[in-house]
Amino acid sequence: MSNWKGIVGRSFTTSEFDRYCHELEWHTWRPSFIVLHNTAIPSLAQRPNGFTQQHMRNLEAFYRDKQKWRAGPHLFIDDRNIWVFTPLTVSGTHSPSWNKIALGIEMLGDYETESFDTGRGAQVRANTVAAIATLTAILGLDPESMKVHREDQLTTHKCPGKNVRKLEVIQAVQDLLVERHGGDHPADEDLPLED
Amino acid sequence: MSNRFLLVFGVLLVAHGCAAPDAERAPPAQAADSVQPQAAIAQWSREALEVQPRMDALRSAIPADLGYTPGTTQWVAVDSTSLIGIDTVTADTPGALLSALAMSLGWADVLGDAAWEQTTRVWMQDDVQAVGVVLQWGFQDDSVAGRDFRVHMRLDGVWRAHTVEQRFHCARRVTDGECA
Repeated sequence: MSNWKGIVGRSFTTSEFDRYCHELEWHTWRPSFIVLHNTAIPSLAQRPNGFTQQHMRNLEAFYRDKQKWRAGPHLFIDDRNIWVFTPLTVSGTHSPSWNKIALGIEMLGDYETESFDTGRGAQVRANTVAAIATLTAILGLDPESMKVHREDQLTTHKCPGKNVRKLEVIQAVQDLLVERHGGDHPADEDLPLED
Repeated sequence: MSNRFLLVFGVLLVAHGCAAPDAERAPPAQAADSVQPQAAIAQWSREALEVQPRMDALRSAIPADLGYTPGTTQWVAVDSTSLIGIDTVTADTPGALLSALAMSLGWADVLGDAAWEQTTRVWMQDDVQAVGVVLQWGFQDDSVAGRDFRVHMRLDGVWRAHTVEQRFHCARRVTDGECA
């Protein structure tokens, strides 16, 4: 009997993803933080049009039928869309130390060699920052709790590549959160002063 | 059924008292990143000691359209901070020492959760020197498929480890000596 948790296999724009996540409920499993990966292979150059539905099916077959895993990463993000792979409400498979407690996000690209600041890489970064901001806000996570896969002490690897600088991603997420939700709570200086 | 409850296979093949006459000039271990089929290498040889046959299966299982080129990193010394307490671990045989190290250093902790299996082997270099490996496979990791430890052991009244190295089997490819 297969224990495969299934995939969602749908792609979203950043705003669609935000709406989608607001409809989810984390009753049986709730992640404590987010782990950022890059696919390395395929690189951006190897996927000039980003991911397709067929790519998601191929990945599902690989993880389920060859690797015999019960799940894969939660998101695959390219320069166009955010693909939901493993349902965000169940644990995934991506980082051995953190599979039970963290969401796994795979960014299309090999950021050991490809740019994360310009061109398609910058768009992947923008989509990723938007996705992390959405999940951070909805789940009440601390943006600074985000980890990159290479921080997993159990294994040694270059994932994501060196062009992905964790602190810059966190700062971008924090900036976007302020942009999105900055008006939710009045800043202290706007409050009436008490005598 | 949860992976936690799946059977974990541990194979302990202790090669004792059968060192080859030219054991001091043992053949080199397999080259890293080799793509030659490894499974056919005979047991009870220095060459076979470090073979991870699962790499062959991984290569054949990967769909061509994924573009993965699995490889193995070079052996590197394990950081000393990960070996605290190793001096206190001794045993009457190299096989027992290897198993004790796997337990005391927490290598076996990944089984049933992060990794599927662990295979241990020992090659007797001579009467007082042995090399052991702990081969772990099936990491639930998008880039690392397996991790191996190689332990050089010496008999000094009791068996002790004096050098510990590790390497990784990379599902996607090796980049600058690490898994991509």
